[in-house]
Amino acid sequence: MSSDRTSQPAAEPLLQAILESVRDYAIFLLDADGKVATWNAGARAIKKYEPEEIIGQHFSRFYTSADVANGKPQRLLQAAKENGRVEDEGWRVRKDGSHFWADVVITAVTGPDKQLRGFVKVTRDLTGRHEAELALRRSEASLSATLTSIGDGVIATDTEGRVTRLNPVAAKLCGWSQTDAVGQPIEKVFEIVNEYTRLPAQNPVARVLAEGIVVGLANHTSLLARDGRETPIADSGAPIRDPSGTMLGAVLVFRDVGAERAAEAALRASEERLRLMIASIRDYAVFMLDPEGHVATWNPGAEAIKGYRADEIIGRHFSIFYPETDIRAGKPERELVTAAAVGRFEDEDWRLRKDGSRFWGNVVISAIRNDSGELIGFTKVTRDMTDRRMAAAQLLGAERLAELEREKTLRAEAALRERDVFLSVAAHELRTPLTALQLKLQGLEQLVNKGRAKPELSDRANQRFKDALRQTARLGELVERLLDVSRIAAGRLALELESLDLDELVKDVIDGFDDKSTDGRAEIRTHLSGNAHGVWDRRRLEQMLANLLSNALKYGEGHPIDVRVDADASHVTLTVLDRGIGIQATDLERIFKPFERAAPVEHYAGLGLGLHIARHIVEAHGGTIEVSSQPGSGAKFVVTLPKAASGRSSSSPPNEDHA
Amino acid sequence: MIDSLSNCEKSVMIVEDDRDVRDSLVEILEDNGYSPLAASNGKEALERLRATPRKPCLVLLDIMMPVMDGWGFRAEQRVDPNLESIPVVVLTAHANAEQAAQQMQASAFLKKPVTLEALLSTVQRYCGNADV
Repeated sequence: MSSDRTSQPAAEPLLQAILESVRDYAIFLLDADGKVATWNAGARAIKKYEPEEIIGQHFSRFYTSADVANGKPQRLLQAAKENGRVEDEGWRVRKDGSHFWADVVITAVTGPDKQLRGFVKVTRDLTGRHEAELALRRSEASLSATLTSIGDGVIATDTEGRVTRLNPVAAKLCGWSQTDAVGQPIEKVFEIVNEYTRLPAQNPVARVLAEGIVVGLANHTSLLARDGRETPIADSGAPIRDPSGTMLGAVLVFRDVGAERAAEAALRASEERLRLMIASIRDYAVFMLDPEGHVATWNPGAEAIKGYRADEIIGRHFSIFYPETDIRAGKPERELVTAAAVGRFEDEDWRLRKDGSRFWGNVVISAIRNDSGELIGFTKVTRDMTDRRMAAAQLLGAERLAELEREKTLRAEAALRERDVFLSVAAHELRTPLTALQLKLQGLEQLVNKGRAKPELSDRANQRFKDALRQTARLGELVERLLDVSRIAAGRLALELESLDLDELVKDVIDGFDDKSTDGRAEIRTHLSGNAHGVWDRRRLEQMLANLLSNALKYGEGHPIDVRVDADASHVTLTVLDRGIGIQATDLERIFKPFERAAPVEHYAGLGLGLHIARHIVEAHGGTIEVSSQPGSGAKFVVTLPKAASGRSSSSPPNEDHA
Repeated sequence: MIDSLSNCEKSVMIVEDDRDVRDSLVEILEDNGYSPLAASNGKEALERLRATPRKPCLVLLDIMMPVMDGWGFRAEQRVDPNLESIPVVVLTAHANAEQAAQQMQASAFLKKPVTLEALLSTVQRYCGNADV
C-alpha cells in the first residue's frame, strides 16, 4: 500500500501532465483493494472531490446505495481482475449526492510478475447523451404507439426501399408480421395490382425514392396480401427527411376502401335507379337548378315539353322558359326566393318552348337543402297542361273565354258600383221622410212645451200627429219595396187574385196622386175603356201603376201625363205616356233592372226599383210590359194583361210577406 | 245688415221638392214667428222671388229636385241683381253637404235630418229673433 503511494512520484512528469489536462474523463488509479490512489482534473470536474478528500477512500462511494447493497463495485473489480477489463454504464453518485450517468471502464494493472497491482478507472459523464437517448426512446415509444393506434396502414422503408417498420394495420392488410417484414423489399411486402387490369401497379415507394416527391393516391388499386387476400386500397407515399433535408427513406400510408367502395356502389346504384326513373318520366319535365337558378340536369320529359336538348340548356338560367313580361316583372327570381323561403312554390301560367311557342305549364319548384340546411339547389317539375286548358277553351272558344273573363271582372266592378250608389241613394231616400218626421215631432214637442192649450193649437197638434204617423208609413213603404226586390229575386212574388175593373183601379190610383203627390207638377189625363174587367191582384196592380206614374212624374218635366186603358175580349192594355226627358235606346232594357236608372242619379231621387217591381208584377200576371221612347220628348210604357191572369196565384195560405 | 233684417220682415223662402218636408218646415217657421214662402223646385222659387217685391231674409235650398235643382237655382240667382244678395242655406240629405254648399257658394248648410234647434238657430242668424 505504502509502496503504491511511493511509486507515484516515480511516474513520468509528462504522463502526469497529460492526465492532469484531461477534463472530459475522470482517470485515476485504484489499488488492488479498490481504494482511490490518484486523482486527475477530469475526476475532480466530474465527481467534485478534491484529491486530498478522496485519495485512500474506497471507490464504492461513487456507487448508488442500491448498487453498493447488491455488491456491484466488488463484482466489477472481480470481473476486471478476471477479464483484464470491464465496462459498465449506469448511475453514479457525485460528492454532493447528485447522480450522473456514467460510462465506466475498469482495467486491471499487473506487474511484470503478473501480480495484480491495482486498476485504472476511466469514467465519462454521459448524462447529457443519456437524456437525449431517453427522449429519443420516449419519442420512439410515442411514434410506435401512434402508428399502432392509427387506422391507416403505415409502412416505412429505408433509402433502399427495404421495410424498416410497419404498423399493425399494415401488417394485417399485407399479411406480414413486423418481424418478417422488416428488411424485406417493399415490393414484396406491399404488392399491388390494378383492380381492373390485374397488372402490377407502380409502387409509390419506388417513385418517392427515385424522385423525392410525394406521390398521391392511385385509383383502383388492390393490395395482394401474403396469404392471397385482396383489399381495395387508396395509398400515398412520401419521403422521410431529417431536419437537414437528407432523405432517410419513404413512408407509405394506405387504407382499406372496401367499405367506402360498397357505400359508393350503393349510392351509385341508388342514383342510377333514380336517374333511370327520371329518365323514364316523359310526361313531366323533371330537372334541377343550382341555387342561382341555372339548369343543372335535364330529363327526356323536359326535352319533350320545352324542346331543348340537355347539352343546349344545362348551365342556362331557367328564366329562359318565361315570357318576356314575366322576366321584366321579376317573376322567375321571385319564384326561387319563395321556394327557398317556404320550401316550395307552385304556379300555373304560360311558359315558353325553345321555338318560342307558348305552353300552359303547371310548375312546382322545391328547394333542396343538405344536412346542415344549406341551400344546394332546386328541383323543378313542370307539366304541360296546354291540352287540358285548350279543351276547356274550345268548349267556349278561346276568344269567348277571354271575353267571359273580362265580362266577369266588369260585372263584379259594376255590381260594386251599383251597391255603392244604391246605399247612398237609399240613405238619401230614408233621410227625407225622417227629416219631415223629426221636424213634425219636434214642432209638436215645442208646442206642448209652450203650454198653449188653446183650442186651435190643439187642432194643429192633432193634425201633426197624423202627419207624423204618415211619415212612419212612408218609411215602412220604402222597406216594403226593398223587400219586394228580395221577393222577386227569390221568385216569391205571389198574387192574391180577385175580380177587378181596371178602369176603377186606375181612377183610384190617380185620385191618390192628385190628393197628395202630384204636387201641382203635372196634369194626369185619363182615357178609360169602359170594359176592363179581369181577375188580378188589386194591391199589386195599384203598386205597378203607382210606380209607372211616379216614374212619369219624376221624368215628365211637369208636362201632362196620359194614362190610357184599352180592352179587347181577352186582354187589357194600360198605357202611361209622359212628355219628359225620355230614354236613350241603349237604356231601354236596363231601366227594368233593380237599382238602375237611365237618368243621372244626382238629379233624380228614388231607389231605382219602381220599374223593376212593376215589370215583375206584370209578368206574375202573365202579362208583358214594353217601353218606347223618343229621347227628349218622352216615354211610353205599355202594359198588356190577360183578363184572367195565368200567373202564379196564391193557392197556398196567404204569404206572410203580404201581411 | 240692419236694413236687410228690417226689410225682409222675417220671411224665409223654402225650396224643397218633398211635400212632407216642405210642409214641416213651413209649420215650424210659422210656429216660431217667421213668414215662410214655399216652392217645390228651383224654377218655381225663382218665379215666386221675382214676383215678390219684398225679398226674403233667407232661402233654405234643397239640392236634388226635379225640373230645376239647387245648382240651377243658384246659377240663376247669382246673375240676377235683384236676387243675388239673398243669403242661401243649403238643406240636403247628401252625405257631402258641406262640399256641395261650398261649391254653390252658399252661406251655410244644414244636413237632413235637421234638428229643430239647428234649423231655428240658423234662420235666426239671418232673420233675427222672430219668436212671437
